[in-house]
Amino acid sequence: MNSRQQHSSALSTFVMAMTLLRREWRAGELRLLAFAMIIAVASTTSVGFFTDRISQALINQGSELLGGDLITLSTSPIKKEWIEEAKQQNLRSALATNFPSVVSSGEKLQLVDVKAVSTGYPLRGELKTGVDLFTEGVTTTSIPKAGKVWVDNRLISLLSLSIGDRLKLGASTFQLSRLLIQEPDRGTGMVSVAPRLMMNHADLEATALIQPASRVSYRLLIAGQRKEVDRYREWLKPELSRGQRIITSDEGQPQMRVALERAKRYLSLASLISVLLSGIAIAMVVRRYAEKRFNDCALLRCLGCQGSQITQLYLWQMRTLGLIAGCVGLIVGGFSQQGLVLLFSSWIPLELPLPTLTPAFVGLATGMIVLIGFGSPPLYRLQRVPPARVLRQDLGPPPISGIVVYTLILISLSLLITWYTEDLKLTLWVLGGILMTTVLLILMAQGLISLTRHLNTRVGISWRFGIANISRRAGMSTAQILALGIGMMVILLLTLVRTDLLSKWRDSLPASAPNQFLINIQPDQVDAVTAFLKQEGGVDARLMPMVRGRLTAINQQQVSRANYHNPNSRQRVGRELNLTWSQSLQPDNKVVAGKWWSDDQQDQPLLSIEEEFASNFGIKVGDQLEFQIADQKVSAPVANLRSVEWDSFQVNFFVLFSPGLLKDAPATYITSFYLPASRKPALNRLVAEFPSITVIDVEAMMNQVRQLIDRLSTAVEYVFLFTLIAGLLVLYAAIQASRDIRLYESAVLKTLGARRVTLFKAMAAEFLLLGSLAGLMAATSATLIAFVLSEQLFNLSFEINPWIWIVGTVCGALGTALAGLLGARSLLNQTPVVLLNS
Amino acid sequence: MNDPTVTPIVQSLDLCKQVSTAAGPLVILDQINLSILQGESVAIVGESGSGKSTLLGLLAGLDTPSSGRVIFEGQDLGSLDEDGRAALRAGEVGFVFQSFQLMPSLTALENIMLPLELNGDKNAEPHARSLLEKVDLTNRWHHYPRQLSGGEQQRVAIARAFSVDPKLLYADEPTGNLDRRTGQRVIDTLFALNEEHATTLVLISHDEALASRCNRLLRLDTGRLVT
Ligand SMILES: Nc1ncnc2c1ncn2[C@@H]1O[C@H](COP(=O)(O)OP(=O)(O)OP(=O)(O)O)[C@@H](O)[C@H]1O
Ligand SMILES: [Mg+2]
Repeated sequence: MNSRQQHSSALSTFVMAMTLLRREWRAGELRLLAFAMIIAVASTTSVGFFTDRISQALINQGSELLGGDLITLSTSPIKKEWIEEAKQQNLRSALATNFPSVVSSGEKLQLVDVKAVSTGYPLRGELKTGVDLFTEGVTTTSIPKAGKVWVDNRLISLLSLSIGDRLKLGASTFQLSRLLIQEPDRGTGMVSVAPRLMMNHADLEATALIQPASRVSYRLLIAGQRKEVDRYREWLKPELSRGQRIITSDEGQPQMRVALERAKRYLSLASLISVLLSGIAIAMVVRRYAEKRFNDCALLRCLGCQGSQITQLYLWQMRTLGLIAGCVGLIVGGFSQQGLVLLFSSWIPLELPLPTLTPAFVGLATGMIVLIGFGSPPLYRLQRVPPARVLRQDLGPPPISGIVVYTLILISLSLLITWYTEDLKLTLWVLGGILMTTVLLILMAQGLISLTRHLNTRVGISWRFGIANISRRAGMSTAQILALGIGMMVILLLTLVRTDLLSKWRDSLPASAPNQFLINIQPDQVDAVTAFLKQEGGVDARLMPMVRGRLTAINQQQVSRANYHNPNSRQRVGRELNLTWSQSLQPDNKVVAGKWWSDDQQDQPLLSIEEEFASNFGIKVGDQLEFQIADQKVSAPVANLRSVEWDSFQVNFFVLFSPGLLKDAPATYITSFYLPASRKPALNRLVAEFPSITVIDVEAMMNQVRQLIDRLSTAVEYVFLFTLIAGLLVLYAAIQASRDIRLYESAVLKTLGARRVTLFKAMAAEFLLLGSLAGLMAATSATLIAFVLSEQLFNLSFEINPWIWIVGTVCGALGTALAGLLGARSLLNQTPVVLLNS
Repeated sequence: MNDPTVTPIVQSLDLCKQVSTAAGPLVILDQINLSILQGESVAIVGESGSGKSTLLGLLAGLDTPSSGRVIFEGQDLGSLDEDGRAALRAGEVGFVFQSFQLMPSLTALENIMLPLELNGDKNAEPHARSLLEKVDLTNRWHHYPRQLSGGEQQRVAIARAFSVDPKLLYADEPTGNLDRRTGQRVIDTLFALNEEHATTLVLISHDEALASRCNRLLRLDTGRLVT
């Protein structure tokens, strides 16, 4: 052939592929393939879109804790141009100026932490005010009017104030108009020792409190669309001088992040399993499709078709169908994602940007990888159909080498899993699990099939015939039992095991998790506070010392920003850390490397470091760390690394010292405990008795986390629906797989005089046995997998559920028989004339 | 047929085919030497199992011999791979089989267009329609093979075989699956088109009457030529 001809033949190959595709689509065989593809793409995209949007929502939540998307902290007044530039870039802005001062009411004086805010504050999050102590308060969108101030409950107790009282601050007098109950950005930065007084920024100058020497912290709050905020940050960065710093909300709340990370894992695993199941369905459909095309291919070879042309002819059909079905899957995924978002609608902030296009791309790519990995091997076989098949029907292409198939599948699998989990260890885990399960299932299937050989003694002829069929078509039966078993296994896992795992997750934040934090407890108050809490609140609080310090050197190497590339570690370099000391390990901590110190080591200087912090700084067990605490340098070796359950709401520290080392350092104490709502008034008495202590109520935040977990687990269940459908698809494809042989054989048997009822019984026997064997296998492997999952991944104690075998075997047998016989109905009614037409 | 201007289109030299079976090697064809000249029609007859289909498969390059050679238009088929032989067949060789071998998912018209399209023919459709007319199936063009009777299917197959105007046509018991009258009609169509296209014809049959309509007759007996 010359090149012009070749070109035109490549084109005509495509045109012919499309013609064939249209015909075959009408014949219905390829619909299952399209359906599997739709499921694969829809489940990945809906999960992708959804987690994308939820992550965005979490970032926005982080913004709420800052009061804005981007905060500039400065020791000098915020420049006018910065505000101008923000306006130019379509961003909202507000000012918040903090400084310590003294307020007086009548005779009494009190040190307060003043916060002067401008209109618009807070840009993110909610400001709540009220008129009574320790009430919920109501959300307000305004700030104190000129001449008015809002103060927190501590100042009320300290100065015995009531609403309407007059307060003197600097050169001005203000009227107390409301009680400040919640400030979104209270928790960030330095923990305030003094009670809060909030005033209008416009009144600031008149107070004459801001003098060149005063300790003032100026904040510029910025909020708007993400892209614009990013652009503004880029613009602002070079403008910053000493004493000025940008904070953004990317980190979010750790508890929320942990919940989302976990949900992401569940969700991606769920969609990964649907993808794999779809892959299996695709493999079976394409295999059957290809086998039915042997005659066509032999003929095409006779007519002079090149082998590669034949491969292209069928690959093009598959690719085109895959692309079309994939796009349908995208649409389905888009809609179901919207459904998921509706679950969260009350929780997701309004300014949530639309999902990016990445998940759509990822979803489609996933579908294509599965299609090509699982679907193309049988098609490559077609080019090797010998043309002589037109003369002798028994000639077929040599079977494709198992190695080729398995490598293709393995490659596409590892690609997908790595992509989804973004974690090499987890990939190996999942991949190993899948391989092990498959090998185990194949062995079980083969064992069971050979057992059926000895099973045929005392039953009627049709039953015997049906049962004998299973071992007679051992290869086909293995594949069928395997596919049926995998489908049933996933369904069993989803129905029986899922609930256990999800409820465990829901319980991970028990009702008794600490909801109150006390900070700034002075060393001489420790005993009194402990006794107070015991008596008035009925809680056994564990007060932890807290010392502020900076990490200065690791193994005599100065810690400097230039040594770290990871933004997380860069950010932490040079920051003040909360340090503590303890003799015993907290119950929610676990030593992951090294050893916890023993009782006789307590005077030795030793360190325990949280594992993520350690990895950020590249710290290993045995490293010598040096800290600057007040005006002292303290150095000690790392004895162990710890994992911390950050979502437990317990007080936790990155850096823990052995007792003794920090005894003389200036410490304050901190504690957390659970206080039921009925006991909340005790907090009033506490702040009255110990005015210097700050109470932080995290109840609201915990409820948010609980709600998030609740909704995320609903989302996981929703996504499991896709997995369920994919599992059913596999079952259907498995039953279809033997249809052609059955069609032919039943026709032959009919010509030999077999009655329909005989054939029916034989088929029923075969399906019942196939189904129960598959069910048995499914139950066994589901139990095994559940065991591994709960013991290894979720730290759940595992109980064997005997019902799983009964349900698996009985439902497997009945379901398979029902589906199989329904599928074979047309086949039983077929006259043997098919033999003549073939 | 010793006209020196006529050259052999296909030739076999010491052609042998042997397969290994469970009961040991089985010789299907033994030392076949023949040559088929341009324009002639040759019938291969023999009992069932004598190796006729096997011989046809080897001559057409659908299968490879155990030893010996097949020369098609001066090309040794043994020197080509599967794709090379396919390329050689494209547009040059037509087939009619006992079991019709139409693509079940294509209509009658599309089946006839298939070889034309494989050759990049721009006028495939009108060409195919005119052939449908010649085999008297004009108004069945949109029917699928399973909607056609055996005789009609075979006529579609014949039209398809002639669509690319092949130099050489192999027919393996084209009437084997048909009753006598229908078979007669199919054969008439075949010979009429053969005449019109001046195609070289190799026809396998165990019907001696049919075979006698060819210029020459070769007889196979358990894998050996006996004429
Ligand atoms: N690949 C093979 N393996 C085993 N036996 C074969 C193979 N190919 C052909 N045979 C045997 O070789 C013999 C000749 O087969 P062939 O199909 O050529 O006969 P035929 O003359 O065309 O018969 P019929 O008139 O019945 O079509 C038969 O006995 C057949 O079973
Ligand atoms: Mg034959």
